[in-house]
Amino acid sequence: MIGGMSALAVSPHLVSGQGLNIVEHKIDLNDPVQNALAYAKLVGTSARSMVHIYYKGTIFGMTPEEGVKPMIGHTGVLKGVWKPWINNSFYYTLYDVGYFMDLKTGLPAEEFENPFTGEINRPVKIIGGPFDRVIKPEVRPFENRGDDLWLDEPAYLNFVNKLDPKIWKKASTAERLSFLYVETYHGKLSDLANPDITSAPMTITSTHNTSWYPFFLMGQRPGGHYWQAIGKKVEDLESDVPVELINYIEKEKPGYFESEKPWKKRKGTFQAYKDERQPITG
Amino acid sequence: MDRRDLLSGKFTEDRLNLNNLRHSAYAYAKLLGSVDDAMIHFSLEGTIFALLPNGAKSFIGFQTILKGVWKQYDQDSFQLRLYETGFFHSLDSKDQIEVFENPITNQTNHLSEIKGGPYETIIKPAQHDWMISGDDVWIQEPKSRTGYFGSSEATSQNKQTAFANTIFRGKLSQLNDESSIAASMMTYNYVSPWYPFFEMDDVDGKMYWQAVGNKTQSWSDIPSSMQEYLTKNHRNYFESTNPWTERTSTLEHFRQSGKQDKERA
Repeated sequence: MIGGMSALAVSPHLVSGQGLNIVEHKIDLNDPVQNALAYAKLVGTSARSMVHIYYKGTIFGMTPEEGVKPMIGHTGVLKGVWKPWINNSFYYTLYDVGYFMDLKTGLPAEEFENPFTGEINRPVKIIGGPFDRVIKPEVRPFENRGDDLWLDEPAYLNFVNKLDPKIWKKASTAERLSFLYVETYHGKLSDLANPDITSAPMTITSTHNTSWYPFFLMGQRPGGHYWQAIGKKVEDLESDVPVELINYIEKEKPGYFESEKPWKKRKGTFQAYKDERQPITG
Repeated sequence: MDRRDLLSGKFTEDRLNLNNLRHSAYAYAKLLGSVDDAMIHFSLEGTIFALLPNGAKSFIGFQTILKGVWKQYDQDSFQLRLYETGFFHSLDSKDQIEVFENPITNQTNHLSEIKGGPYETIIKPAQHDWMISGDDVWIQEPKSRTGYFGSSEATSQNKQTAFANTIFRGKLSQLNDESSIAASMMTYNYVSPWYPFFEMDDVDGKMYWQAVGNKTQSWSDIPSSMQEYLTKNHRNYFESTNPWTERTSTLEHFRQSGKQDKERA
């Protein structure tokens, strides 16, 4: 499949200034430099600029005894601050603000009933980043059919839990946590090949298989989460993002959409839980 | 909107109301298949990850092609008959493999092909869980399944749970236009117990199937490795409205193949 993508000429064609001459752009995704450029244009931007990605999804829980149940929704806007970097690379910094969401109303959930334990849980706020990443020239396995293009990007995370299970008996599931993230980015080959486009329209499907998150208070119960979300690169904030989410973000983090550095110190859900809550032992 | 508009798909940009049950069923059929009698295929490419206690690992690749045979059922409803076939491949090649050197058990596995259907569904007027952002529209279908995932349905086995989530994405403007079929991209996720041909009964963990593909009407849009597989194994699959009659699944197909092998031995 990848071999077949070398030096693709793509359509639809662009019409030149005279309106008659067909301009055909080419892109070689087997070339590491062009591949990195395509990645930046699809996921973010090849210019020194910001992109925002709106997402909305559901967190399911899975246990061997009780099967699969939807637990709570989640929605937010990712901010990527991009800049061209040295050696044909791109550098970006990612932020995330949003809320855990009532599945029926779509509004922020202050608390919810855990369908496995029957207890009332109180979510923390969704706030993450800054996370820095360099996109280096390499051949990523883009797939394409006609003008449709997508990239699956798995990430394997295995790390020490900030919450010691000996202390955080209900909020911590283990000393180490294992997550599998698979992000799928969809776009158009013609957009990536077009030198006039620095940031191409993109939709995203995001799935995370994770250990239990702390605020669900699942303790060492066997099982874990399946997170699913769908979303897109924001082209028009008001038509692409629900007004209640925009209002929430502007209230929680004023200037988030405008700022290139909405905050400095790294934040994350596990750290937030540790900072804001006390261990529950009962 | 009257019945004639629904059948002819003559929606104008602002007339399709996805909160309306009939419109929702119409949009669902158009995004996933067709509102006219037609065959629709989705060609998917993906990876299976092994979810192990000490972390996840990419395990094996797979490709499938779904066939949906769509028919007008009655006023405002649609009938779907679904088939699936496909194969496994190594992570560094797209060619079908039947024998797999399992990197977790270090054993040699003899794989089944992927096969399912016919599954019949009637799409009736109903409220579907649409997500809309600008001109982009998504629908997703999470489904749980509880059953036996071993090499036989022996009563001594414990029932296990699997979970599939299928997401379709399209354009609202296409759902509103006068065509009967809308372009659609599909993402398929499936968390399952180990399938028996991987012989992982003694390994703690699960499989995570992840695949992406799009609606395709043309043989030439199908990946060459899938073309080769169909030509070799299911020559009439792409053209036929009824490639096989007896309902099966990948598990059932594997179990039946095992029975036939024993009977021959």
